[in-house]
Amino acid sequence: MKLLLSCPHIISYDKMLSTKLCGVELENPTVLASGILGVTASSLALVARAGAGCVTKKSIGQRPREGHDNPVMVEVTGGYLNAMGLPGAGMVESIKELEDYKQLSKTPIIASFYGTKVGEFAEVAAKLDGKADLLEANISCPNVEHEFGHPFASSCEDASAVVKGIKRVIRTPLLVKLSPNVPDIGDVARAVEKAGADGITAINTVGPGMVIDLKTQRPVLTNKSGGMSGPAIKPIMVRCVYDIYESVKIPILGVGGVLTGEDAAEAIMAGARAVGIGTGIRYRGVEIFKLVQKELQGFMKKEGFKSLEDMVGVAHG
Amino acid sequence: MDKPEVVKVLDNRQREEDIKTLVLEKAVDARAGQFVMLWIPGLGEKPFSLSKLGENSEITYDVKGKFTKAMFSLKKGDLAGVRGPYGNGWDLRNVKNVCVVAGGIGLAPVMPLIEARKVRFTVIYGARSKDFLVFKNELEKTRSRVIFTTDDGSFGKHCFACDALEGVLSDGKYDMVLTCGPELMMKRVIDICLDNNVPCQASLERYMKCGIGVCGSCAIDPGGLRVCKEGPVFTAKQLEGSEFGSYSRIKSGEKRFF
Repeated sequence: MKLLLSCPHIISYDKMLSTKLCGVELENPTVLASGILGVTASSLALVARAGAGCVTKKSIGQRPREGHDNPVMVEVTGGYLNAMGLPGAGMVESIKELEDYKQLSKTPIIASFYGTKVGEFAEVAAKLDGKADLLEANISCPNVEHEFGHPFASSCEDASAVVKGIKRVIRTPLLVKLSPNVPDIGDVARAVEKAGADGITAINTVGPGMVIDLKTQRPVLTNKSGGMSGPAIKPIMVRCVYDIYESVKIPILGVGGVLTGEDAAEAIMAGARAVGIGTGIRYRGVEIFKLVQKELQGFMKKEGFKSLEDMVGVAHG
Repeated sequence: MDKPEVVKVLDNRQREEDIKTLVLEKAVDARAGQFVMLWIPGLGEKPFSLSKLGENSEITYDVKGKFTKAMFSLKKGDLAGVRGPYGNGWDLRNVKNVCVVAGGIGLAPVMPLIEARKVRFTVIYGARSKDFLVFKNELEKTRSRVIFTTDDGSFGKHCFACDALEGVLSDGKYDMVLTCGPELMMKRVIDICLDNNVPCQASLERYMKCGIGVCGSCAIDPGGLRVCKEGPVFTAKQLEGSEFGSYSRIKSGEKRFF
């Protein structure tokens, strides 16, 4: 009897938090952000088991790449700086990891990828097409400027050229990950929407910033600077999502500094349909995915939101 | 804070030709088997377990690559950064009679336990040859039962450390085996323990970047457990059927088979 009674509750719980991102159904809006626990299939599957509604494979490049030397991460007040430098096993091994993931989990997966030139984005995208539920073009990594030049997300023209090239060769829905480090993120969002993007992920890390050790009088990170993540960047994410929502019609995946269900609610009210979690794992463990869902559901019940859809963009009046 | 605390090097003692013990002016408040990330400005940052805990904590290491080669030239008064401790460490709760199987400097993370003498230890300690039995003198001082082995027969039994384990297990009742050293040696040890139904823990080494359970570089297949977070010490049961003893991943994330 007890079991029967609890069933309707479970069903309503699932429905209440379910969402859709570029046509892909997610059981809940929490998404493992790119670059976090996303090197291997088994690591991604662990996060899926922990309750994420979707996971993201760390950015895939054409060839294997070691990334920057350690230290690649350092804590600051309110978050972390990181400069991983796009390490990755390259396209061939990464596609194998995506295939292995599909054997281990039914939770949707986003394949993040990057190129060093406009044409390279399309080459990598063509190979990844159909290997994941969504592709995410990382045109906004702040940690490889010395090698690759300014991120493509810094200019509407560059961002648009990259997206057009990718869209010509893929059928899988395309998210484009934008940088907060621009004068008007709404302009860039409009440019990528016009170029054919199916959705926008916002934001990549902020800054970059720098930490100098006072005793050795040297920057701690080997790359000297690193993009900032963690709770301190949440208001920047919320503002960016808000601006993008005002500028485009395509769905937004809000990423940046989310630690709690209330943080997720804020991103959703700004206009996000799903919410990324990354650095939050350092603060609350992989349990964070279930905790955020529980807190978000509690908040929605208290405020009378029956579905996530009802809350998307309400801050815009 | 996950940020290096820069401290002075008190000593960098030569042990053998390629092996030294770095003494830090810092009391790392760690459990045996946990690790720290050691930063040498301009050179990088790598994980190391501690061969001595508490005041003036020590790291015993051998030259493996660019980083440890540079570490070799550190001298008294130089600065190094330490963050951590991280990871789980050995678990000796409800354990009374322990057998340790270690190779070369692999004994480092177990030494603090053996020296604390809170439980009874039998130590099977092996190395390539006599000169690489780095902790020989310290071990003899602990009054634990020690079986030395060398690959070339220059000291103790002429065999691998793991070869001596079956004999030890058959003539005593052990409620835990701890192992640390070359991966293929540890793999043999956990297989023997699984066959003999003796609980076993092994300390793993994988390429680490963040060290704090976020980047995913050190996750092991197929469970996705993180060596820096759920490890570095795993039980034989956790490792059964895993990548352990078969392959690991390098800095880029590409697989390399043993």
